[in-house]
Amino acid sequence: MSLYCDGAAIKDDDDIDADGVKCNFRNTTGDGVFAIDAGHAESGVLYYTDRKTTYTLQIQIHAPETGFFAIPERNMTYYLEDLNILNSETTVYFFGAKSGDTVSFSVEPNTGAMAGALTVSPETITAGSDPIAVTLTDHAASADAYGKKGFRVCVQINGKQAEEALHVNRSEDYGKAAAYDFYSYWDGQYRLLEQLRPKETAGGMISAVAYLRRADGTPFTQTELSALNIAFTPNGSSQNAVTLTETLTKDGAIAVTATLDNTYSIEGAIRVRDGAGLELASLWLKYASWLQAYGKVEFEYQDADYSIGFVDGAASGNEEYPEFIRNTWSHNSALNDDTPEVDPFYLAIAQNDNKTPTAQPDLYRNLIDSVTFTLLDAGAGTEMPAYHSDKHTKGWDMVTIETYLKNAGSWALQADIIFRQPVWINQRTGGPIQTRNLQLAITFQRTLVPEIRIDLRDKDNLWKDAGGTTFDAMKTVQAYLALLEEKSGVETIQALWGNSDHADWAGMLTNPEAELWFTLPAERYAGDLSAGKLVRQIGLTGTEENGAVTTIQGSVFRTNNSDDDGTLALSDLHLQGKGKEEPYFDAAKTRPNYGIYSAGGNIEIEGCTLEDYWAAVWDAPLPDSASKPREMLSLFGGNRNVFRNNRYGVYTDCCRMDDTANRPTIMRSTFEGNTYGIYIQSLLRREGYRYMVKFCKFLDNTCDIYNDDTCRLFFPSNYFGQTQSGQTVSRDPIVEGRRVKVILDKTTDASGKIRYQYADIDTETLLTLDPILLNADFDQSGTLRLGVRTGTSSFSMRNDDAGTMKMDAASLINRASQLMIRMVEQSAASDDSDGTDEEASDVPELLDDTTTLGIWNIAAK
Amino acid sequence: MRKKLAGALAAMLLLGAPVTAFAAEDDFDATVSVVRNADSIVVTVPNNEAVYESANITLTIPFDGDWAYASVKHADGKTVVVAVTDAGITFPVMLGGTYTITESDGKNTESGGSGGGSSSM
Repeated sequence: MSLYCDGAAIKDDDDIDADGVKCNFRNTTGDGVFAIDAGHAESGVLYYTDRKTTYTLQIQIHAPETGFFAIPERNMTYYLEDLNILNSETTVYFFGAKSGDTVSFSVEPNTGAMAGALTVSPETITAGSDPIAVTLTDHAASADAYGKKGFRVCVQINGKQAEEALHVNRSEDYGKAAAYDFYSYWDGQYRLLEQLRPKETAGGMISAVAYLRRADGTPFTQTELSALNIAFTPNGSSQNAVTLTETLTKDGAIAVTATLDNTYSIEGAIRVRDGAGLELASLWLKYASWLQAYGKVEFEYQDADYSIGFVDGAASGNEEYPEFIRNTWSHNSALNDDTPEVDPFYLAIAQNDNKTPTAQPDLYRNLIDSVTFTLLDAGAGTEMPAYHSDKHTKGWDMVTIETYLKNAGSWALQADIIFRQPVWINQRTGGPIQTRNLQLAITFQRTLVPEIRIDLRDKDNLWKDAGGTTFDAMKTVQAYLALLEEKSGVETIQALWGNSDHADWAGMLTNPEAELWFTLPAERYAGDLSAGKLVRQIGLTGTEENGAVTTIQGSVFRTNNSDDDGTLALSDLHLQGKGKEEPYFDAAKTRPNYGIYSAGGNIEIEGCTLEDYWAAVWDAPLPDSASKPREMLSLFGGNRNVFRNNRYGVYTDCCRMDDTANRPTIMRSTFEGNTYGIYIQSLLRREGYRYMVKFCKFLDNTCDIYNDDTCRLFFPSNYFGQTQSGQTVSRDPIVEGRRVKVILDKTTDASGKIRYQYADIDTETLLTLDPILLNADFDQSGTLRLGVRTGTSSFSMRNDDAGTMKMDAASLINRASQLMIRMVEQSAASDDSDGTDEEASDVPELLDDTTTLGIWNIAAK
Repeated sequence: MRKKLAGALAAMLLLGAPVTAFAAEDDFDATVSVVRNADSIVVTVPNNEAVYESANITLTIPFDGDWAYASVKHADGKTVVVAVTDAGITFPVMLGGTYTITESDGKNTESGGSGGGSSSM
């Protein structure tokens, strides 16, 4: 009889008696002798693990008892959290007690405990007691969030709290832990024990071999092999089968070959039991022949982290958006436009994060063996678009999809990727899974927008006939179309539709989803354009001809004060006001000198120039409608517009925003020569980060941003300049307000650290904050995302609704080499006049060292 | 095989069920609460068990006093004695909850600790 004890010194084998042993554990400080007796005969496994502290162990062999022990090979590294209890299952643990000691077990639920109940029986043992049985009952694994730890089993020795003995997790969590290698969670007398190394396959058979050895290396005999029960237990609902064959190797190990024939994926345990059913060893097997994934996925390969996904080939040249397509790429086409659209996509790999996938051609070639693209019908597709794949000139694989109207629908663009070697693909649940073959897909959507475009140039257009004053969009679209047919001489709508073989077009006339776009000649229209309730989108597009542009010398506004589904959309128009110091167009003060305003209903502007207004965009209650619900307003600044020489470029007072979609945005616009570029009287919501002003230029304004709301705003990536001697030079932002709190910009210093420029009216200074290891931005859902970069590792963090910083623990554990997070004190509550303090968690408060609360130092074990 | 997979994938896409995502369930909550009293500092950290157990984590609390050593006692009674440095008081975090920091003579006085900046928590 021997004592199996790996990784810890055994002082003297001679002390081991054939009838058993007793071990004392003692840490180097001399305290905390932790003695455990075999307590049972013949076989047993002793676990004394402490992942929290590294002990130096001394094992002393004392008077012979009964039984024998083994120490886990992973000496002191892992807790017994690997306890693989599935639903309503009992697992027996051998946990001996030293003579004279009383060891008691208790079960405590963890935070977010999983369903069910865990019991330990017996709860108290002494030397010679039976092993404890840990039983989980009434647990439905599917009801629990992945990774939640359900219970802790705590141990008391002689009434004194010792350590947690083991964790019981949801089974998938166990899988996560095991997925990185096929390690044994039951290292005992026997060990299975070498990592399974799947043979290279390309979607077919998988064969992997593990070896079962005794801890002391003594060989097995054929008789012993025959007495063992080695079987595969699938995890959960997994129906895939594994065939196991066992043979004896020359050196006396048992080779267990697991064969997955024509199987997509497999997950479960190879369990080795003796004739009495006692589990001696097991391995967790988790593999996929073709792993299906969606959107961008992250994977690990040779201890490094990568991402792989599709990139929009057309957008790849824009350095601001070299990002992976997350899930769906969509393209809208007007019904009367059958111009073929050619959309290139390429497959790209990036290291560590999801940026700059274009810079890694060598990496791509080193990791990818081959790629096959397939386009699949993923919805109500009409006719399959044509597509072809090719090698990108820089070495990537790419696919080009060509679509016409007939190709409307939802398609799955799929890439069958074969890596040169197996990689670990990160998944939402179940942890990483190893595969060499990845089936990666995104949804490619080509949507037919019911859109009718009518070019009024060179036509006898309605506008002039309306008297040049007010264009009443309250008329029904049918009436418009009837008039168009009568007056404009364009093709009748029916005739227009008749040019297409689309079966549904006959219903378009009454389809409220239909958009109606008018292209206006490059003429100057004096008067206001108003629209009441709209049942669809009405668009007006300006043109430029011989240096002249379509100009509206007046206002564009919505008259209805109720919500509707229609939007008045303006593009490429020149809107001309009366002058920046004139509040009204007329002496009677009936026509405010506003470019865009609304009593309700949406107006969208893009690519327009608005100049010489008191307020180019009056995003506030109308002067005569103070009682109107403020929530009805929905304007803000739009995209690609120019606000020039106005008193207020954008004046906003409780700009509309809802929780689902609307995020007031001004993007890629220019504010030039205004008294106030953006004037914020107040905001409807106090979450300043929801208001987006980005990639804009502020030139020669008297004041760039005025904020009279106490909400802290986050307006990064804008340019501020001034004309000097005919040249534009960069300058600091000019910000004013009752209490301005605007984070204006972020830059990267020479060391690569992010620095923020922060305007604070209280001190009338523009501060550049100390470097902090955070890179903050907003994602598409409006959630503030904080990226942390340390050396070559990066992590994602988020600021949740409670204002706490949370970090992706998996990233932390798997990637961290050394990470520092500095937690800073939140700012004092603002002096909100309404008593609210909702903005306290809006934007990360970036302060100096004196307010540092603590610094987390995190290093991988 | 491929056809079957394609059908499954199409169904998946139809249902809008993403197979992969990037959110992890075990987040690290870095929130720290620090209360400085006349002769002690009380630090409260969240429960991040998954992280605490899987990484080596220490927390540094800035401290500009004249303590040479500090005793850091967790609410469960475990105590570690650490040396105070220019950076502050750095101690291992292995459990969520409250840590009470007081001045120490450098000798370990309670369970587990070994003094002089080492830890046995």
